[in-house]
Amino acid sequence: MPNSVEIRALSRAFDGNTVLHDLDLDIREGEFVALLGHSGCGKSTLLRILAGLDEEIGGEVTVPARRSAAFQSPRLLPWLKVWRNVVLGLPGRPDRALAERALAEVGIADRASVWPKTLSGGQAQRVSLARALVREPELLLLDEPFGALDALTRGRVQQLVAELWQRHGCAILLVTHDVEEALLLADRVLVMDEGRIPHELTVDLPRPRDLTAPEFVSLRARLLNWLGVTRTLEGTPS
Amino acid sequence: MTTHSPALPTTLDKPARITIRGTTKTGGRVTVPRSVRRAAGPVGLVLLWFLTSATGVLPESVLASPVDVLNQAVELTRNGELPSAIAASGRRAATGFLIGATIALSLSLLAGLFRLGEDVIDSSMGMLRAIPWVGLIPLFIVWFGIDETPKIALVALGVTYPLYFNIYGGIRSTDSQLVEAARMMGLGRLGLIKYVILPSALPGALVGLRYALSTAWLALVFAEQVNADAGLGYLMSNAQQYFRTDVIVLCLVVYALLGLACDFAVRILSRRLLTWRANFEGEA
Repeated sequence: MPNSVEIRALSRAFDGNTVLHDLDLDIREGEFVALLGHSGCGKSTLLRILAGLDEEIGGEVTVPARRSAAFQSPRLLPWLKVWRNVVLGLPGRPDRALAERALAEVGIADRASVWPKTLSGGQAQRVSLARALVREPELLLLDEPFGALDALTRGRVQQLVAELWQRHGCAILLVTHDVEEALLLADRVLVMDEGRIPHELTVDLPRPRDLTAPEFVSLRARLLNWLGVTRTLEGTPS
Repeated sequence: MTTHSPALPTTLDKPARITIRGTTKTGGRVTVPRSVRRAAGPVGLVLLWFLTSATGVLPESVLASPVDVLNQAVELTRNGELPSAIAASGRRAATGFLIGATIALSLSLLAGLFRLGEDVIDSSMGMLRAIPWVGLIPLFIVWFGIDETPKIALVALGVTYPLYFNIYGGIRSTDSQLVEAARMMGLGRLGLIKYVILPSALPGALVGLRYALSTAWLALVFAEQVNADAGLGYLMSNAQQYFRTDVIVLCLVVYALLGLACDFAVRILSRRLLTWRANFEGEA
């Protein structure tokens, strides 16, 4: 598989404070990569750079032109109906049929003509995913898109993302601080710490993955160890 | 048990349990409609005015009775003086408002959208706002004479400030996260202005519009004190010369009604334009 993303010697500093140190990273086409790390480790900065929202960088980054993103908050425009939000920014007249197909794919076709304010958190996040996917991206950037959801909704939306990824075949970079989420979804998990990626893990488990499988549990322990979190498994609150 | 428990502090004023009673009405109690409740205050005040006039507590040389004011309204409407005065004043207010709104909109867009515009315009507007605009009447007379121009200019000036500051503030309070997301979705500069920045400035702009319209009428009252030969202010200053408090009160009432009508129109407009906002409606 050729590479979708190529990052060479990338660095980024804010007022002399270096956030990304001389980073090298490749993401293959169609690969699902999770980027794990504590808050402030630079993972969101990396994602913003890949999104093209931050250009004051050192080094070189090659990304597909067709890419889109979903963020922790859905960031829907409150004054546009849901379906208009989905096709916002697409060339030509707003295509309602296209928006409805995308909304049907994320399971909320019936909410096409309501105001975003009336959506629940999970529904809004689904709209945000529909908005990202309707652009048929080659690279999808997800910045903790499940972070603000309750546990039950989160599980369902994670499942949805797994399905959408398999159908669309785009490369995904998922930024998260949830170890289980990373292991459930990703082909490869990167652990980021102070602007470097010191650890990397390929997840060879068959999908759909079982949280209680011994391989899963041992991979989780390794990741937690790399993150500097030491917990006994019995005492781990899920 | 009559002994005090030492572990529990005595909280006689705060019961340990409270009962939440349902507020859903199941008939029986007569409820006054909200519109009647809202009307009660103003109607009561007019009634008080009427009673004090009728009993002579409030002499006519101080304030005419509401009956006299009403009679004057009928009389002046019949002979055409009041309608033509309202038309003349309305024309001044509308012209001044349009000029002021155009200036405010252009300046706030320039200052809101461009860094250069902000640097040049915003500080100047802040400085100019410090000048009490009513105090400019003498200068306007020197510049524009005593015809229509200084009156329209004063209205335009009064309208410009509230609109400018509210639209500019609205543009600048645009959520940068929304701008980022919209840019990510491929919106260009014009698309961002149309779909993100202007809609998010709209609530502020509408607040500014309400202020601007009430300021327009206020400015008109001041402006029409200067050598008016038509309009409500002319009617008023004539009445003043003959101590006709009924006409003066009538003119004040008309000013107030015109202001209320504008305010009502903006509120309808806001409700139409801001349907996407789920707002707190106040408690019953």
